[in-house]
Amino acid sequence: MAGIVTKSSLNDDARLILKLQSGDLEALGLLYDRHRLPVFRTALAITHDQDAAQDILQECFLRLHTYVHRVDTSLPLSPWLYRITVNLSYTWVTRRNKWRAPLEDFVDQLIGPAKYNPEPEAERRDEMRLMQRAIDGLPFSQRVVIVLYYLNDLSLQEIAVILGVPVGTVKSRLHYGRENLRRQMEGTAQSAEVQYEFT
Amino acid sequence: MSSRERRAPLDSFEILVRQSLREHADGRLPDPEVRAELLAKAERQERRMAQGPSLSLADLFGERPSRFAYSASPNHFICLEALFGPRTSWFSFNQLTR
Repeated sequence: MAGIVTKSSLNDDARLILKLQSGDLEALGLLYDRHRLPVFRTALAITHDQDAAQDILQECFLRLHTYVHRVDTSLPLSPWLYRITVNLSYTWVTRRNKWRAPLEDFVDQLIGPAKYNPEPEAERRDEMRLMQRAIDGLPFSQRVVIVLYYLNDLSLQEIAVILGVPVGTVKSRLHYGRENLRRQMEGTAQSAEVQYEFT
Repeated sequence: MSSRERRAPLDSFEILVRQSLREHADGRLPDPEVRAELLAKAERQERRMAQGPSLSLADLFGERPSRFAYSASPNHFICLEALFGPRTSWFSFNQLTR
């Protein structure tokens, strides 16, 4: 699903959608097999929760089944699926944030910043873990753009179509998302160094 | 639709962003039960859609209620009056129900 949509994949999807429109549930299974990974990975990257990603994946294809008569077979299916995935992820994230944020702040206070690890490989792994946390901490609109751009390799135009916003908006969300990540990573690195000096 | 070819090469920070996202997502697969459950749910949904809306809701969807469908009787309005009547004057209640 990610990246370029070839003509043959477009035709295959269209054929399966037509079959599904006529009530063939096997076609839904085949569409699921074709598109499950990008949907699942996107939901997982946004929510950071395996169970939530699986629920979103299932709900996304259930919606495809419900609204299959509205799907335009002349257009690629992937932007439609991405859009549903993003919407479902948004619902999940906003519901979770209501009760999770205060608890996480408390846990952060208890654990403190990540300890400085001098091993290069371990340092790299620490960096990636901190980056994942930083991405998780981004505002939803920026997080989605970062995930679609860097994980799914989509272009700015594709992301604009999926989110239903102008390309300029996608560009600015990407820019501010990156800046936020840089700031968060610099902040974490500084606090880790300070902690290292005192220990 | 894609224009990835025109993308500028990623800098080291962007590479870290991509690697972090991929490290977390790569190799993770949804459980096989998700597919089976999806198809079971879709089948149930299909059956429900074939049956149409429940009879009591038929009016809401602009469908002609069947002979056995639920329809509001004059008693219904008396019940509504008992519920809301005391809070509104008889006149305004009358306006609401007409």
